[in-house]
Amino acid sequence: MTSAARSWRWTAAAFVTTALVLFPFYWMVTTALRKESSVFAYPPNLLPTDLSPGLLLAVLWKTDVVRWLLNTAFIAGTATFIVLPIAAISAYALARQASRVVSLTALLIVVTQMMPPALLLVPYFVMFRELGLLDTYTALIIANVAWAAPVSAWLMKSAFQSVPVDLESAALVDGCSRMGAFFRISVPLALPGIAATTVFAFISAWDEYLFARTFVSNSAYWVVSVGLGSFTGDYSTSWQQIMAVATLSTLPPAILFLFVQRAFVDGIASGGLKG
Amino acid sequence: MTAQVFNPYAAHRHSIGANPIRRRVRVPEWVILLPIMVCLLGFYLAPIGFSIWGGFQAEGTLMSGGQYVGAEHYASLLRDSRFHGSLRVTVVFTVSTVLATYLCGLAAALLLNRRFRGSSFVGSALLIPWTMPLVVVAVVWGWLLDYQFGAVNYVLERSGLANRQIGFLTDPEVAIWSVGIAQVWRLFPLAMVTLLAALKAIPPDLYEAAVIDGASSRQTFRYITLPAIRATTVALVLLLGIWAFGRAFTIIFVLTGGGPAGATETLVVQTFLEGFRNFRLERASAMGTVILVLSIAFTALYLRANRDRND
Repeated sequence: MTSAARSWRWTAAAFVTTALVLFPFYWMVTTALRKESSVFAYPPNLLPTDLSPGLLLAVLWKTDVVRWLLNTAFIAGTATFIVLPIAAISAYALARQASRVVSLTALLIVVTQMMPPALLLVPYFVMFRELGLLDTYTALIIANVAWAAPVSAWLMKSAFQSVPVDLESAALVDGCSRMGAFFRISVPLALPGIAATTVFAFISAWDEYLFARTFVSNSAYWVVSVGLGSFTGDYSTSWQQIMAVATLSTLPPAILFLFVQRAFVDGIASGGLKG
Repeated sequence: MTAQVFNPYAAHRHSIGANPIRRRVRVPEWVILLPIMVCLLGFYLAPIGFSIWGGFQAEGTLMSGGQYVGAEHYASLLRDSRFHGSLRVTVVFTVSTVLATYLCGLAAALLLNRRFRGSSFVGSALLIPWTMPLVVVAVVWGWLLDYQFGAVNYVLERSGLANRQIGFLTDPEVAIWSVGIAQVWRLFPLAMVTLLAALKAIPPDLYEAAVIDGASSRQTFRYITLPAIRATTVALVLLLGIWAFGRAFTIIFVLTGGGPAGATETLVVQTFLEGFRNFRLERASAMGTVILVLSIAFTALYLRANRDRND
């Protein structure tokens, strides 16, 4: 067998595998685009052609999804905005300094990433209750910041480590201030990693379910994950509508991910797993 | 993808003491690290301390200052058959999903480690499950595995693999595997990218030398590939295990709520139900502490494995 033929075989095998693996994704999108009668047809049509984007958009007014999406965007956006500077300066210190405080912080960060969130649920609940923050955006923003800040610092650390120390030294020697070197040299050079981490923080807040479900019961403050989860066992919502909401709530994180995919994958594959 | 694995500047970390930067720092580092320290102390260590304390308080007293009852909750957990059941479910779920996630990730990484037409497209496409929100994954699999209208039941029946519809989420024998499949589907890309980075870091000369020496492809896999990814494997498996054990919640909870009849009620799900459905916060704290102790044990193993890997 020639190597070209072997390569084609490999391509074919890879594409068939990928198609099978992505079937759930395909099924979600096509269900969201089909009329109810077509969704429940038996036998189901695995290659439907009667798709209409209008049906996907119809859930915007048939359900509360617009409010949920706005709530989620606000909470995840604010949390990310707070996490970013905290994580960046901590990551810079972790990458550039060596001392007992630094190693203790690094160890604590790694250990907290292993902590089960179920353990934090009761204390957070008691705390938010005492502070009168149950059923508020504030509680969810705080919980998401607390959850994302350590791991974001950890992911950004490897981004700063990849900036050559010599460049910063040169800037300092040339009379640049410490802050100047940070903002003019380190941040721009670490930008892919910083951007990927920002997206990571946003996606994990967008994805968050446990805290959002526990600290908020008033459906006016629901985020999209809680709203979507509330459909299970609720037979008044059709599968077409559920899949439409699922598709809409997948879009923002997926689009953001596309922009930073490369740096994201690098960060997880190297820095994310490093102890 | 190997850019940071082969970090040419990594050596600088060790020579920092001889560097002008260190001498010119004016702000003490603890000031810079203050925000993250506040976060770690206020939102991790203190709450964990509170949880441990809460597990020793009498039922219904946590909100009003507590009343010490010793290890009563732990003793009652030891006698509770529901708790035993959830331990068993947790072990089955953790072991099977970690194993399957690793193997699927390895298969995908081996597939992508070859240069072929469309490999970068396939590599990106296989990341899609990883970008999907957990609740979305749960409802999509809920729809696929639906008893009456689900596509999976249709395909199985049509192809003759099953002669009747399967209650993927309603049959206690099957439900644990259904939630496991959804979990593996969502997580395998993480294993894939990690293992692919490890595979790409293997020097090609090793394979060339093996081919010249007449090694079969099975032998090269056994004697070159596997040893080269061993350290990554250990770290990855432990990390996946820690997460499957202590973090997996959303997919299970949204798909089955822990049912049917507790068949998918892992420790984390049961802790949530005790705390926020039955409102037994003290008992939930005790259960959380059990999860914590087991997580710490796994974490210690993970840190040790990682140290070995970086050495």
